[in-house]
Amino acid sequence: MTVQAWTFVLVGLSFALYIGVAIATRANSTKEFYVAGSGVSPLANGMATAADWMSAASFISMAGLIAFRGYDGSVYLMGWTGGYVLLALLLAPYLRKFGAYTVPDFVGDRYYSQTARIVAVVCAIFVSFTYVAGQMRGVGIVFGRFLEVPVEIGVVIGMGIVFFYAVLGGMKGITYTQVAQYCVLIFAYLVPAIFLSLMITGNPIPQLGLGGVDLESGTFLLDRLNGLHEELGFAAYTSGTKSTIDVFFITAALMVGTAGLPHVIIRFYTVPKVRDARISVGWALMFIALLYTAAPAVAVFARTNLLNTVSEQPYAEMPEWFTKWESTGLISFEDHNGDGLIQFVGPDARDATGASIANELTIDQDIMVLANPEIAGLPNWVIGLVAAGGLAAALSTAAGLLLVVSSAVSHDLLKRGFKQDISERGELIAARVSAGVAVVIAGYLGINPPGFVAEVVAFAFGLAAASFFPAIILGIFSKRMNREGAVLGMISGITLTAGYIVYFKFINPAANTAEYWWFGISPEGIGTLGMLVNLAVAVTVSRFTPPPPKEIVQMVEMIRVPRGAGEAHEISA
Amino acid sequence: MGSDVARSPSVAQPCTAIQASCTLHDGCEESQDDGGATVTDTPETPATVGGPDGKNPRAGDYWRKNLQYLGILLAVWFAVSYGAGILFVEQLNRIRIPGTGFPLGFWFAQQGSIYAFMVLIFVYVFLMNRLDREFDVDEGGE
Repeated sequence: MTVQAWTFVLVGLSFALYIGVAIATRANSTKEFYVAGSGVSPLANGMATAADWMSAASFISMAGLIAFRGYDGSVYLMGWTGGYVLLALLLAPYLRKFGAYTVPDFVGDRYYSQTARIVAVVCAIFVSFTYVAGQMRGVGIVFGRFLEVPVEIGVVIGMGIVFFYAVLGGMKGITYTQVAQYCVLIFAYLVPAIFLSLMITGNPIPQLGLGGVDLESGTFLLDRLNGLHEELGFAAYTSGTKSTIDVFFITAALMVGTAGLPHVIIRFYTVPKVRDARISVGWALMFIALLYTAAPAVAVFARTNLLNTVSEQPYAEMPEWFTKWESTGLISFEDHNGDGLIQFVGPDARDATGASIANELTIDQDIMVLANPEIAGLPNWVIGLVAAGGLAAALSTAAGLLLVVSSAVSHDLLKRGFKQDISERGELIAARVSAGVAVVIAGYLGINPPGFVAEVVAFAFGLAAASFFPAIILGIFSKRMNREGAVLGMISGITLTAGYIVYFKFINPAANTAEYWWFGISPEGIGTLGMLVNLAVAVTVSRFTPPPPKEIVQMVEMIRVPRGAGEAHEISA
Repeated sequence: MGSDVARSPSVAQPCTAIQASCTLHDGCEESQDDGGATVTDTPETPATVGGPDGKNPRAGDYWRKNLQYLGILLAVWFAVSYGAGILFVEQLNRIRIPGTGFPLGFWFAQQGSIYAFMVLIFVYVFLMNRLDREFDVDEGGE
């Protein structure tokens, strides 16, 4: 069977599975729609969280990013896993005890303020749409390359599937579909990783193969890659080029941002108890770590294979995958010196006479995971499997995000905001309609992606880090924190972070270099500073303004102890 | 700050009265920015500390123990990622994990920190479940 036939079969089967699961788990009440009736087992929730969290960025882009950046890619590995420690220790159990439906719910009730609620709603919607756009780009890439259908049709099919189970099933449908999607995506990620590890190092466990001996040269794989890098004028793979302070701040922004992302937080409202919320974060991180510890191995295997395949080889003899990706525009070759060979070199490359060599090959890092099985010559079904896995990762995350948007509109804006007399049935209809509208907008963004998708992802994490995280932490750990402190803190954190990112990414991109950055912190890492400013402003302001009402203090005392966590419910404010 | 001095006496009292084992003023304040004002401003609330049953005078101890666990676990969290993986990565890279090709700092940044995060969460779950039972604030059930 050809690659395309395998891809059709595997993608088709996985889609049929998701639809089947969705039909079996429809939501019949707002509670089922928002938090799956708080009846999800911790293990299933851990799996669903892992699929929810691991997006097209984790599945498709991350190993590629690491392959091209070496040690500097560590910020994603540590940043996108370390946040779960914060989530488990500082947020999940308390938010579960509080028992709301959404993140703005907690912020609005804890700070007895509609302003705080609205600020939170706007952030939640903005963060989620930013993120969804990236997922849709991933769906488009997979469809465009593997099924050779136009991207528009690919996105419409993808959105149709999400529409079906998100609108029909709500959180309940999404949860169980995500469990299925996790299984598909982890299988699809690990199979080629194991194949590659066996081929290159003879060790079936990629995490160990990474530190193992390269069968071809007989030296340690990492040493061999560092050697190749030195030869070709790239920086050494195992040491970075970014400044330490920037690596520190980016890692922190990603960690804190992860813990503050609404679509991750709401997953812990779906389990029955506080105890379940704690252990569920542990399961989630374990499922995530399966992929995240394999990713750096995949990155090294891919990098080594790529250098071996293309470096100094004749362009005319490139294999089929090369020309196919070339046609998508994600690989391009320009023969500067006219020798017909591919010079794929770094900025420090010098020839025998000491003259610098020009790089002739441009490769989009997003294709590394998708092209990896082809570069390594793995069987066709593995390639089809990777396509199905990429779609599972993108669709599961998209669904989780769309649910945040839908509940922000129907629950936070209508039920708790402008139309408090709305009936249960009316709210459920509003939730479905807003999920539907959100799907259509996301589909539009997928077909006409804004040119700055990559840039705005920094936004999503920066804003989550600078807004939600401090507001929630202070709401739990400080009884003295009041409305004035929280609102002013969030606003100053968001303003600083958004202003910095907008300035360097959109207004004056030419100045986006270390010499103009504050303290050498790049826009990707500024969310950490925004968070610190938020904390400082909130604590200071709260000291000079009236303390929160007695009921709120009692509420904080209530959420600090596990006993008495009912099912998710409305707090009468 | 002047206001702190003025508040201190009134803080110490409700604190010692309510939380039996809290004998030192410092002990009360270590719970982050809960500072003096909280207790001062809400002198009646501590009667209900301990949740819905309203009869757990040891809730302050429970919370302090929780913060102590958090402090230790987060210190490890910081050490394995920001410490070993970022701040001291170059020094650690001079050491190689025996029998493998891993420079130690690089390994912490791309593998070790993630394993440590998992262990930290499971240790936290174990400690807190035990603490919940000890202070009788667990959720019972299966």
